[in-house]
Amino acid sequence: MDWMQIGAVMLGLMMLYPAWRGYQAWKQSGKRAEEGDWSAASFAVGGVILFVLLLVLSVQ
Amino acid sequence: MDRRSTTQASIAGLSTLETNKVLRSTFQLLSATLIFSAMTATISMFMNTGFGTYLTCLAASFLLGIFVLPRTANSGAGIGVIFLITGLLGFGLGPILSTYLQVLSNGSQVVATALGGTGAIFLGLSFYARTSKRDFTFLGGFVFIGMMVVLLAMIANIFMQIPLLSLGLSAGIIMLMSAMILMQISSIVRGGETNYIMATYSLYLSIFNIFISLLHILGVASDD
Repeated sequence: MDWMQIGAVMLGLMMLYPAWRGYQAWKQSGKRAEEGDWSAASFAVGGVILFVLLLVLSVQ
Repeated sequence: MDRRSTTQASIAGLSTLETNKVLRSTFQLLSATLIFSAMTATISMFMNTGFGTYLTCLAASFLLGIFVLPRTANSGAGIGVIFLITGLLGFGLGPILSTYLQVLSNGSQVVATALGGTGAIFLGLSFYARTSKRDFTFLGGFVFIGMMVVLLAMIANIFMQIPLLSLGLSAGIIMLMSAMILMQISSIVRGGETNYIMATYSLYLSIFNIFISLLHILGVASDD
């Protein structure tokens, strides 16, 4: 294991902290999903996935 | 219209004006930081910096983003800090871009496609979040838990070195950062985020991560 891998592991572990803090903040005061919210978000993220597949085909 | 409804309409109008101001300032600062990053990335490529630069810049910008930016975001110094962070991230990107351009026969096409694709994804999601009547801030739980899972899997893959997992993680990051953009734009539009420097930082990180992940996926897909 070289110093680059050790650095990457340390960086990854450090990045867990803001993600955990963000989750705690959302859990305390974040908005919960209402009816139709998930389908609206899935539509947008699904569109992104299709677009990425299109880009993959364009570079092959 | 009685006096009370006139006052309520004025407050709503002022709130909309304030929200539009935050959104406009965020987009202006985001454009400036992206241009600045492109400049520092170009300098880094000309200097032929190594891969260690990427990790060092990433760590330095991360520490600045966690410890310095939140303390300076309400003052003019915050502008300087955000340019320092984005400049460092751009500088760190230099060796990665150089590798793609040198190793792949169609490296310039891959980099250009990743750049254009990232721009299109960001603009499309921003438009959707602004025009949709939905409040996407509910995505917070999904985004933060997803980020923790992805980070743990990335750490595990440093030891396991599974190419397919690495590709799956890149796809996962694109999905999570897309949700993050929806959440952040929604938060600005609804008045949840009032600090344009912090909003710029969050959106910049989403764009940066989408670009890196897209570059990885397109690089693997085009590798002959």
